[in-house]
Amino acid sequence: MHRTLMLLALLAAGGALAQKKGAPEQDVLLKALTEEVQRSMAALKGVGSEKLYYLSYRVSDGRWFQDSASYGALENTDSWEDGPLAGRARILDVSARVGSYQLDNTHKLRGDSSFDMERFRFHSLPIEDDLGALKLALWKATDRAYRSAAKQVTRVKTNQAVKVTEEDRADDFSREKPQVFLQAVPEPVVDRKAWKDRLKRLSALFKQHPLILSSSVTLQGGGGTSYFVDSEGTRLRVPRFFVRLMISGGVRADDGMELSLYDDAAASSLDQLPSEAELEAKVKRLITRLEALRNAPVIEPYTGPAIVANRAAAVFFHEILGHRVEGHRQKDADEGRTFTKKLGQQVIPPFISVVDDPTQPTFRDTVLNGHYLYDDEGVAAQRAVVLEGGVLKGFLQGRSPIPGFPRSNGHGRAQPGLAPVARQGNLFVESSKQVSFEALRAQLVAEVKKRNKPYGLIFEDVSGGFTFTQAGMLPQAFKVMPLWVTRVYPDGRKDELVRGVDIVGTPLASFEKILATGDDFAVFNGYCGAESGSVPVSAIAPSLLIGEIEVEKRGKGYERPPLLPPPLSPGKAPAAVAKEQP
Amino acid sequence: MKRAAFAASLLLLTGAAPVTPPEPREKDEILSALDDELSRARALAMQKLERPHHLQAYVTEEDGFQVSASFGALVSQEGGLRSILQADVRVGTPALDDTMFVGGSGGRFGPIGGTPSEADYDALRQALWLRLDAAYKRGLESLSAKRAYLEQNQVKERPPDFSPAPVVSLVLPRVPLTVNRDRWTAAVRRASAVFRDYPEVDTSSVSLRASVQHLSYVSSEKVKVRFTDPFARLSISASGQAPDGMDVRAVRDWFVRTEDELPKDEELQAAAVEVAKRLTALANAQPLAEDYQGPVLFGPKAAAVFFLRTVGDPLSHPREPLGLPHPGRLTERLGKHVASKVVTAKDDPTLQKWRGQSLLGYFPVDDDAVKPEPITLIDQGVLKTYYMSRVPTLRVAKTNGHSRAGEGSVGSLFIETSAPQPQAALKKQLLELMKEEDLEYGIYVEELEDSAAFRSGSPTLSLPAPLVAYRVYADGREELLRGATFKPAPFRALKEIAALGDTQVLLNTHQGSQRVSIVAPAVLVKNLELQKPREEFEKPPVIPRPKLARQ
Repeated sequence: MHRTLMLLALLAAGGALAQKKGAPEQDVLLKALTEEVQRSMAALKGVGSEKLYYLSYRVSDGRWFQDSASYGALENTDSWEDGPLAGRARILDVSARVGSYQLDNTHKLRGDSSFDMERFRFHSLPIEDDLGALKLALWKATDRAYRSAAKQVTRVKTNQAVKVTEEDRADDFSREKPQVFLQAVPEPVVDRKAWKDRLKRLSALFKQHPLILSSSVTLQGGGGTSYFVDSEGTRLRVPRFFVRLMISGGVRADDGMELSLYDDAAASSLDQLPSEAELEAKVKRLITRLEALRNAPVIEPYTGPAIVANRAAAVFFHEILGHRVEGHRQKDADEGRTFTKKLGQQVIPPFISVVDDPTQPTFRDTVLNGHYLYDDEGVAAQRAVVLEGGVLKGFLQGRSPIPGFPRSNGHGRAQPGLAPVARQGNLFVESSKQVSFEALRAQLVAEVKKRNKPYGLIFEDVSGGFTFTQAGMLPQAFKVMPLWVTRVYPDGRKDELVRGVDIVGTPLASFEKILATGDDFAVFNGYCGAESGSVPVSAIAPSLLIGEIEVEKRGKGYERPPLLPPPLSPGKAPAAVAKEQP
Repeated sequence: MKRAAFAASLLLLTGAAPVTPPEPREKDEILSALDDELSRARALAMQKLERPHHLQAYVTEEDGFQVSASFGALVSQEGGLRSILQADVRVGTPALDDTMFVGGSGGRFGPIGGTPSEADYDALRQALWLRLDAAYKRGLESLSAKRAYLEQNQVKERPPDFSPAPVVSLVLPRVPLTVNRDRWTAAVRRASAVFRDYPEVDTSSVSLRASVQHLSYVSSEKVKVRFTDPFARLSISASGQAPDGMDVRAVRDWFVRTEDELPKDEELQAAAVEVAKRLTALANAQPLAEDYQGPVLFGPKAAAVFFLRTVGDPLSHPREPLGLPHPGRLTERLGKHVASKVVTAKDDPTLQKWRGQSLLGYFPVDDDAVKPEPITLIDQGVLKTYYMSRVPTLRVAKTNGHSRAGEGSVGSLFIETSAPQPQAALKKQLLELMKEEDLEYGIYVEELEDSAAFRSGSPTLSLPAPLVAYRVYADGREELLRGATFKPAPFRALKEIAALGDTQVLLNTHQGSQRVSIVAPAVLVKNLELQKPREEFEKPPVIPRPKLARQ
């Protein structure tokens, strides 16, 4: 199951580094990584049939922070701030490959459902530049990774011998050109103090609205430097910094249904975030929407025409298409492989094309969360064409080849400490049949009338979704959780907000029903969770008119709203409530 | 009352009755917010269902600093303020409420929204409002499940769920954290560099954590409590592999109130050298070749852990919740001989110091806002009482002020004897017991692992593995030993105690998430079983350890 979670962002690499790093020879961490890769390869190259043929170290060296306020007061976060090294971490993951490019320890065992804990083993390195201490930590981690790989390759070989011949005869590891790219590391300035006060002021706006039971304004920032060194000669040092402000609120309707909304702003530095006045407007808009949502009617299950507005459409494509064209899924017999055999075939209306291009840092004025220069296997980011004129052209690939596609296209990604697999970066949906949103809305009304439906729906925003790509137990289905849905009546009545709607459906069927798109491209920035952890992603799409969409009623909680009225009734100044003790 | 234990240990305090006039009054936003919201919550009611009979809320703020280093480089350094808000609502009556039952609506725990990390009146009230509401609703569900259980099962005797108690208010000044961050960062880094010179050491760490916890508590009995509980822990640890692949470990730590009780830099440095040498010796020591059954002498430091596990744990949390199988427990032997006559065990959480050293088991009032009482648990071998909170058992109705997180637990445990023996006499006795059993050697345990899980309801005594242990031969020769672990022992083992030493030492440690103290002398046990290593070990690393430049 893959989820796009907007609020639970696992922070990748961290941020503000104390020392400036210039020439590679002064970079102690880089030196330690390079020397230990070479030393380990030399020591393990000749060890029997358990020969180590590839070794890489990936280190996320940085710091991150998260400050959050609710009701005008700071909330607990996991990041303590004391000291110049606070929040600093160096997370290492080691990839040790035993066997050969054709067949190695990473080969998927067939008929084996055991959980591979080794995927989730990461190590912390010292946060100071001490060559000896760094090397000791690398040595222990390498020893572990090698042992585990040597044990696994034996199982792989046995599995090969006892099972029927596999359909897929692609290699286990692609050959790539070594990359050397050592970027200087800047020193980002972070004034957390000023931002904390701002967060407190923004979060205090909720005080006058006590039926918004939970609310928070959170600032996450982080970044740092990704190091990648391997035995093929790749050496990378790439800094990245990002910040993200999130506003969230939740209400409970009288029938117990819990509803939440959020808004956010992302940037690559604090001074690029919106002004406090702009953020205040965002908070107020969220409050107005939450209160409207709390009192909105509940929708009944419905099938009919709908507009999936741009940002929602972006999530739609991320879930339905993006996850299913991740390369490694095409060779895993446990996967549903919706698209594996559809190469060169029409899978979506011909006016739509899709590419994933992590090399783009922005779309118009918006910073793209899914931008990177090198992927987490040390391969340069590349534009990957997925659909052209509705025809499936290729997949997103890391260094795990698939038949007919022996090379990576720079999409091997993972959160620090986990093993990379093919993931999305910036998924762009392009359209040659664009109309204005007004025209799209008029087409929706026409469709409603044509199909004799009581109303159509507009999905304006979504919180994220999840999709199952695996074969077997679960249906090849997806679910997208809309936050803001309105009913559009054909008779000219005013649009009506509804709550409790989930979009459901099966992937291919939904695609075939796209009738037209808007010209209002927008970005959905988020974090996507899958087997290689949480990675920052973007999806860019126009609004879509879909001939038939299926929605179901969201399961609701059974909790009643709170029994007592809120402690701080609106209008009353907090000071008047805070009476002195007797 | 069951409560989810927090990583940071939480004190909760209840109380009321004769309100002692609190200390000088600065405005306390936390106590005011808790009090105002709790007063309102007394009116919680839903249709004709039961009402709450007791409500309490507490905030634990922790201001801390943490630094750790390995092989001469920092691994982490952080600090700051965080806090936890908890609310407890007892639904029903003291005779029968929603607590002490397994199988209700799941934990009494489930916050909505975050916890303010700063003392903000409005934010705390909003958060507490939702917490109390949720706690009351969960309590209603648990109570109805508990009633159903009582109707369907034959429960012979059931004590009341909550007892009246003389609760007190106590508001002490907040004590700020004082710790010299720069000094400790440098000291920890320097001490950790010692291990670079010892090739047997694979991983090592030197770390300091210094904290103050400010505890604020308010209950529906009109009690207010506030006090500060500081602590600091400095630890050295190292691990490596013996030639046969067995993992070996050596540790040293200081667990004290404030930083001035910690060792000076030179002393820390020397201790790191000592740990490195011990690890090297352990890596080269002979493992236990066959299982051992016979006399074991525990040095005072090991004895402190021994008594926490064999007396402290079994006499804690005496009330068994409904809905769980009841194994035989030591607490059922009230009034009977449970230990050798030479053993007396007392607990006194009212003492702040013992021979000049801080007792971390000290608390001014317990987590039910009751003043702790010094108690005698075992008097010359006879079980007199056990650790009590306001949750009654069939045999003991009243609290003795040992509530920690709501259940009776250890404060400061003192092991005493009427017949103390010098160490030399204990060793001589060990050799005699050995001879009686025709053993080639006896076992002397200097240190026990201090990390065993707290299991109050266990029907056997489980002792953690020895960290430092020796074979003692008939000629008095001692030989370092590795890889031995204790087999579970019956409670009868306490009766097998042959003698206690004449020199007590203090150990500050944890029981579950609570900080506790144990003061104990060496102890000689006539018969215990140790087993040899059973698992197969990983081979030593194929890649040689990197060569390090000296610092």
